[in-house]
Amino acid sequence: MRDVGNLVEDGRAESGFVDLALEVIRRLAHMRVLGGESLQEALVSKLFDTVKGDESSDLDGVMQELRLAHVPSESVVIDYIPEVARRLGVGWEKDTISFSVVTTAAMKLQRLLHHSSLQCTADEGGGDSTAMVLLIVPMGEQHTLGAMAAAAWLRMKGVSVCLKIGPSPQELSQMLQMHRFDGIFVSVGSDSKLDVCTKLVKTLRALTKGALPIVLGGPLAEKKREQLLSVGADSVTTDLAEALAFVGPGQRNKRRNTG
Amino acid sequence: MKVTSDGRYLLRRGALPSVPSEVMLDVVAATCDLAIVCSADRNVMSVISSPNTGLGAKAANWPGSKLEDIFDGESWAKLKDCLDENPNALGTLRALELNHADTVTFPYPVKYSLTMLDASGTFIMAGRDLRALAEVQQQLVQAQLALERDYEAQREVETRYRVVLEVNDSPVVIVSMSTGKIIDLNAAAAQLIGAPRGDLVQSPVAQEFEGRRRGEFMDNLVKVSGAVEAEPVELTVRRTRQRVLVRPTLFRASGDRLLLCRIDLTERAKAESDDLDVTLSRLFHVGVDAIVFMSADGKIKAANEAFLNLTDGSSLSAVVDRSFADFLSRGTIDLRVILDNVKRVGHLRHFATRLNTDYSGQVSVELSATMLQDKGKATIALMIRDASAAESMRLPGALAGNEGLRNVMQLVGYSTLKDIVAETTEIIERMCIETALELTRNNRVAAAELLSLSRQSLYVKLRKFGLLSKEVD
Repeated sequence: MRDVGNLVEDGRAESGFVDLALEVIRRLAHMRVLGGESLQEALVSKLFDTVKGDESSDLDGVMQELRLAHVPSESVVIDYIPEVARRLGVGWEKDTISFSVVTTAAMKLQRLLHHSSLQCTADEGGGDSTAMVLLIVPMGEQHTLGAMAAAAWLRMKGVSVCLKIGPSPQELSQMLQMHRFDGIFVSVGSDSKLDVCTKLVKTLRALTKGALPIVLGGPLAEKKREQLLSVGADSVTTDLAEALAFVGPGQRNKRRNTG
Repeated sequence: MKVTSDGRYLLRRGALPSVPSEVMLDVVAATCDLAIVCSADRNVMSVISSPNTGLGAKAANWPGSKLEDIFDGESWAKLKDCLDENPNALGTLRALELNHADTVTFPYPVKYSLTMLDASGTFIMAGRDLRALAEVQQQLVQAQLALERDYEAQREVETRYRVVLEVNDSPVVIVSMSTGKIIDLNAAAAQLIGAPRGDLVQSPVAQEFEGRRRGEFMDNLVKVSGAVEAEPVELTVRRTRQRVLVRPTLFRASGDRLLLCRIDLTERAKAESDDLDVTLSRLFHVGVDAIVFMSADGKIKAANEAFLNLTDGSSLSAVVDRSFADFLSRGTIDLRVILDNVKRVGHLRHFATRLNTDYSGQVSVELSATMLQDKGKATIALMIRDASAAESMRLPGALAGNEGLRNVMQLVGYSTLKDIVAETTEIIERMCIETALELTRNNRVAAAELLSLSRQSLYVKLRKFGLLSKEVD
């Protein structure tokens, strides 16, 4: 292999090699800035250890480390928090982490989530070009972390999200009369809430007269997809981009034309 | 007496006397809240409960049931995994937190320790009632849900507040009376003061105006805010040296006294500002460097004559509303770099690229981009300088310039040298393979030859970089 080091130093290198090196470095830096790199295991482990640690564990310190490592807020929301939540779930299933630790860890992740999504200002943009979504966590669900992360991601994508935790049928009726949503997302976490979910979908269908698409997501959409499909929603998915495509402004125009 | 390192055996093994089964039942009942004895085929043989817990009556119908039927789905899966993993192990297996299927009678989890009793597979599950802990956990969950509801409600109000603040033409600053620091301000105020909003929030307000000590400054504002028809306070902004009029209003919030300061330019400053507008407008129209204003998604909204000259554009109408990517030699790749940087840090300097001209030519340029926020609407201003003359005089080494150095700085210190080199090699491999495929029009045999690789090695790399599936698609 040719040694181009000296040539570069005194400026005699063929510009092809220098250009290539610069282009590569530019791309690599760009990937880092955009978070194109996969999850950094050291940071995930540190975050995991911190959230399941005691009250004095240094969450602010980890947040600072994520910033210094150029991990964008979007990546914290869609990659790091879900991965740590998944590990907590596995820990609970394997009984290496107790349910009380899972609860306090989830609360710490909620704090990180709020902090990371502080700058999302999707609602200020206005306009007719992005979707407006009602995101519901059914009554009785214990954990809202997944739904909150989904809301943060949607807001980062410019979607206006109205998040309702355990709303009553009266509250839903009022909401749907007063707002013009493009679709409804329901986050289902526990399989013991399948009945509640079925009733909720029926209520939503009746209230909207079937005019709004209903998409079911959340942990159960992965584990019990077949069962959820029978609930009567229009789609069941854990992919938010897919869910969004289902209710986006293009779909809104289609509904207007056909309606 | 002997204690093992994990503290399990306080008595020497074999030192436990032979205990009659009735007494053993009492021991089990006294040491745990609920115990289930199960057969190897996973049926409940008997249930032993501590008389103090009152759980015995609730579990009275379990003997004879299948173990699967008395636990909820997720808990049974956990328990089954544990039993399947240790089919022949004697002694105590790990402890499991399990929920029962009957959530009315057993709404709370029980922590069971599993102990294999004999080689036939009979085992006992000694449980501790976690009711007390679970009740606290439920209270925490409910408190968290209430917090989340409040947070969502607050978010809506916050959005309204921010929109009202930003669409307001008049610069507005909110100052804490107790600290003298700026609590919040709108974009118009940040522009007037001459610094980004992020730098001004939590900075002392007095230092932004000339010749005022903090105490005197605040006293003056409070005095004026209390008077019914008081004249506004006339001040000079330190950074921009503009003369302004400040109209303060005092109010209280969350235990602090706050001053809402509406700021206006004085008549003289307005006239000067108008002069600046005229000068800037003249610069836009007759300046030698190209100036382009584009929307946040990269669509050109305005461009000057110099830009048309640079790109051989025939008229402004042929440029407006087109994506700026159309003019960049690397198209959307370059545009994304520009947009990502200005959205992230507000500006981008010394960005070297090439512009496409309308007659299929290219011209080397160096551009800077600045994000301008006006009433919540983002506009990106680009200053573009023809760099072809300068480029021809530059040595290749100098190409590293500021951009190259900045990119390297983003990597060094955040990743190990080994990682940087490994990833750099991967990018080079990918670029070379993509180029070879392009040159050979996707002929993999020829591409492998060009790269001096075996066909098999090329396939491995194509798969690694996801180029194989892409082609199939």
